[in-house]
Amino acid sequence: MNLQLFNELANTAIKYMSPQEDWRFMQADTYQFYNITHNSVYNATIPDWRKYKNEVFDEIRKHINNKDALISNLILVKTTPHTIIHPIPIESGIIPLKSDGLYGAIRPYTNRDKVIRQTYLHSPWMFQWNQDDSFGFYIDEDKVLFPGGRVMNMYSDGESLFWYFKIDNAFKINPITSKRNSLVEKRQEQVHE
Amino acid sequence: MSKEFAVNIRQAGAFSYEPNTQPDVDETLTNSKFDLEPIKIFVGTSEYEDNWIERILVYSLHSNTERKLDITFMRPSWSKDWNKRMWGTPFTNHRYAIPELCNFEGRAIYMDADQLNFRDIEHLWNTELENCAFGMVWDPLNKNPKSHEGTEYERGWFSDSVIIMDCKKAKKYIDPIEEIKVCDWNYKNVFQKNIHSPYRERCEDIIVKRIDARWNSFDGCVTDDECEDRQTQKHYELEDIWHLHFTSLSSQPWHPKYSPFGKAPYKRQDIADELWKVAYKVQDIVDI
Repeated sequence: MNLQLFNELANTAIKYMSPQEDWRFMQADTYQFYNITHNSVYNATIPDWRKYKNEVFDEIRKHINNKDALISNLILVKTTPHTIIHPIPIESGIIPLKSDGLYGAIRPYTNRDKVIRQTYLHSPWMFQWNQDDSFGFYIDEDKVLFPGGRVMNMYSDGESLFWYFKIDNAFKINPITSKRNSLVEKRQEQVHE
Repeated sequence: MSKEFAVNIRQAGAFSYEPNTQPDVDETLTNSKFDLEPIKIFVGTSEYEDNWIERILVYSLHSNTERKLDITFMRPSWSKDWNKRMWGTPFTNHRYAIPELCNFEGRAIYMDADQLNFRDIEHLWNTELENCAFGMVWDPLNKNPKSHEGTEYERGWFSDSVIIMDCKKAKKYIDPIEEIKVCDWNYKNVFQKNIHSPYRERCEDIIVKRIDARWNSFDGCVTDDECEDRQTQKHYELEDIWHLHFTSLSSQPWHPKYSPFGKAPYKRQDIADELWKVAYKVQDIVDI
């Protein structure tokens, strides 16, 4: 993955954008660049996003080995020691640019509700993750994480910096209710934007 | 003006603006507007969460005028002991304190922080108010109190997010600060009643002078265009906007941390681009 691209965009965002809040990353500075909701497509208005967007999406698709992936969310996250991170859902990934004690635990579940309780952990490295068929580890800088069909707990212990992305999986979960056609349309929009 | 209230722009982390007193520079300033009284501007804002847009607003105001500006940020910490029940923002009723803070003398401009200036603010400052106490833009879509629902007065009133005021004349319509701060009914309602809202015929050109809508364009809209809703309202071309108000917390091109709303796309990319041009300049200066 071309991490220089993600670093450049992150540096621009931190320098020029106003930090935001996001429910997934409590007490962190966040910068939302892209989000698909049921009725709108959000794009950050900062001009650099227009410049890098297609390249960023292509890099992510290449990394997850799915050239047709519909990326539905992209957020830059700058943590503090006080940041609390909601469990990362399936089909989501992390691109760590700076890891200051950032810790992750990949869990054997598809539902975030099953792992929400472990969000409280003060010292996740002391937890016996293997007893729950889970894998706990310090997250390395520049090592992209995409646990695919498994959810992940994440813990901040300092000032880390990472990108969070989400691949739309509505069709996978329920093909009947996912409105496949509208997703295909959005996918086309994303490619042609 | 009370000391704690006068948070000047230097304290707010933005830009100070002092006329250069060096002799060689003085020559270049002969007959310039530096000798005129400063334009008093009061900005309603949050404690620190809006610093980003505050700096941009201040920069845009200075870059479009030769006049000295006396900018005061009105922050929530100033009004800790005020009754803030039913306030829509952390600074809703601060604007009504302005005439008294100016000792009921001269003029003052009020504006919310989430705005961007495109035209010399001196033109607004010099707006002819005739006998009126206030100058505001007419907003035909402004929702009036529920008691007027179903009547011809259901919608339409003057927007108070940009106000030019004659502080002496304003005294007649605004109560003393000591009364505003204890008001249990959101003082905005009291003020609106004092200026006969929503009865336009009893207010326009008597108490409030309707000013050019380009001084408070809501996200590029022709704010005083008579229409059904904001979606169908006419828009100004970028070069016709004098002063722009980013009205919706959810769709502002930035998202202050206190906003409880979801993030929505901003519809006018041309306006957003202008905002970012200023944002880049401001941040480059701050980083020096």
